Amino acid sequence: MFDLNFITEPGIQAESSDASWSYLHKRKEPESETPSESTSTKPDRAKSGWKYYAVGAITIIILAGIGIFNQTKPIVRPDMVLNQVIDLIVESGYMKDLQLADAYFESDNVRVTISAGELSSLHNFTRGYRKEDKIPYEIFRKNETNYISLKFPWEGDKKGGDIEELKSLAGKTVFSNKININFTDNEFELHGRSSDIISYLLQMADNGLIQKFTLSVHHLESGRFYLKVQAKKA
Amino acid sequence: MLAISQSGTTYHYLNWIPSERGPLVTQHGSIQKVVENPNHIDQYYYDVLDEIFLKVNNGNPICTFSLDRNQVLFSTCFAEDNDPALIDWHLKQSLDEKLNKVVDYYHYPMMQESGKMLNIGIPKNIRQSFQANMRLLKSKLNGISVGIFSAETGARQWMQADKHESYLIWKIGKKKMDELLLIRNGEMVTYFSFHRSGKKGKMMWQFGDSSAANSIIQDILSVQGEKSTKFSLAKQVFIYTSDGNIKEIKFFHQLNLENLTLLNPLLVLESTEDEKVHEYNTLPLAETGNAFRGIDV
Repeated sequence: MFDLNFITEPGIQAESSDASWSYLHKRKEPESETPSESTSTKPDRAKSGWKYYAVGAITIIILAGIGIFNQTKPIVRPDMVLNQVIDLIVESGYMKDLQLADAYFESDNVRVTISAGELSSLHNFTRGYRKEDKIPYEIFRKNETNYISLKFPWEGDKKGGDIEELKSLAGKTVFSNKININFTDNEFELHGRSSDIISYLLQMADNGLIQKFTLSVHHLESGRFYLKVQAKKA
Repeated sequence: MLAISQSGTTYHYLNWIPSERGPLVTQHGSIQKVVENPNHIDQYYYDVLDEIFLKVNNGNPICTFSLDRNQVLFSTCFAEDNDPALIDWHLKQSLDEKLNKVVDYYHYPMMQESGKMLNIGIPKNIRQSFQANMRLLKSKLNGISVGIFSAETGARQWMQADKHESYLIWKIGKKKMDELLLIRNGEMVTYFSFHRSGKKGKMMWQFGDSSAANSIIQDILSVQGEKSTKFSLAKQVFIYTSDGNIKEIKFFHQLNLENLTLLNPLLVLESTEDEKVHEYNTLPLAETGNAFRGIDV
């Protein structure tokens, strides 16, 4: 029996579709750029008036000025990238085919690898998902499993953070009763359910720590997740 | 994960989280929202989504939506080999050009031997409003379905309906105006509306195999008159309602028919709250089924 999904393109629907709409996918431009009429304001609350045009014009002039000095530098939105990774961890919990394999948060990029049994799942993923964000990706096959590797922009804090802060944060985070935490002077490891990893990552973000460390998330064969956080070398 | 279904001006929602034991329901309920200005449908759906998001207090949730059937248009056409040119020709012949400009059409295969497709037209402004609202609300929409078709997905996911050779989804409607959807061997056989009144009742509209629809009506009349203790045309029947005809549901359920099941997700899914589920009052949640597409329950 067919499944309906009116998010997919109209026409003959031969197969089930995983098409989705997300606010993240449409963010091609930085948020501060002059927004389009259809996306920037709440529908009924869109108020016209010369004041808004004037503010818009000034914004464009300022942005143009900034652009002259900084034409090529991509604007990194850590919350947006983190949301993408968390989104993928959540989806790994219920999607049959697509699974987050690992995510590496390095100094200037976040590399996310997703696995799938069917190549078509990855094609659908690229068609309906990150393509519009112009995130570079590559698809490859290894040991009869298909992978897509996405590279998000990231900007790590060069100062780095203290592992003690992570230990303290773990004490404040509410975990399930199936976690395992290990740490050394410069490493912190957490084994747990997807919800444990998400809770901890969100806590790190809330406390401004997420960019101070090099970290990686791995989806283990058991279905559990493993987070490894390393202090940055001086 | 937040599943929302529309029934007129009532919106039912079911919030759940993935867990190792399958989906875990955290909240469910409903809100009422009347359309104040039909010209601002985007604002209307924005208000609906915003109110439900505030109620579930779940950050920027990943959600699904099931529309009321009155929001979309149904028709059928012949389409041998799913030929797009033939479908376009059919639409040009049968539909107003102005309508085609404001409606997006989706075509789904029906039972193979029928050589027909089910066409579902959804107004472009509804699709666009959801796309824009996801951006405004910083959320993600994983699917839009409609009415009984969303419930059918739920029947497959929650109750493994597709293990049966044939199954019927039966939506008890207001004033005995029911909707029925018959699936056989994984294919849609017929979708119709039946006014369950008088001795014979009346077919209101019908798509697909009309003889199968008529046989189902005979089945229903026979069961209703307590002349039979099971449905014969479908191996299993899943019954629900969205607009509060609890007495009707109770009547059929309490006949203890051999192959009748309440299509209520809360009777299958685990919940974080140790609450007593009211098996009839929560039946409108059946139309949140599209949220569970592809999920192991």
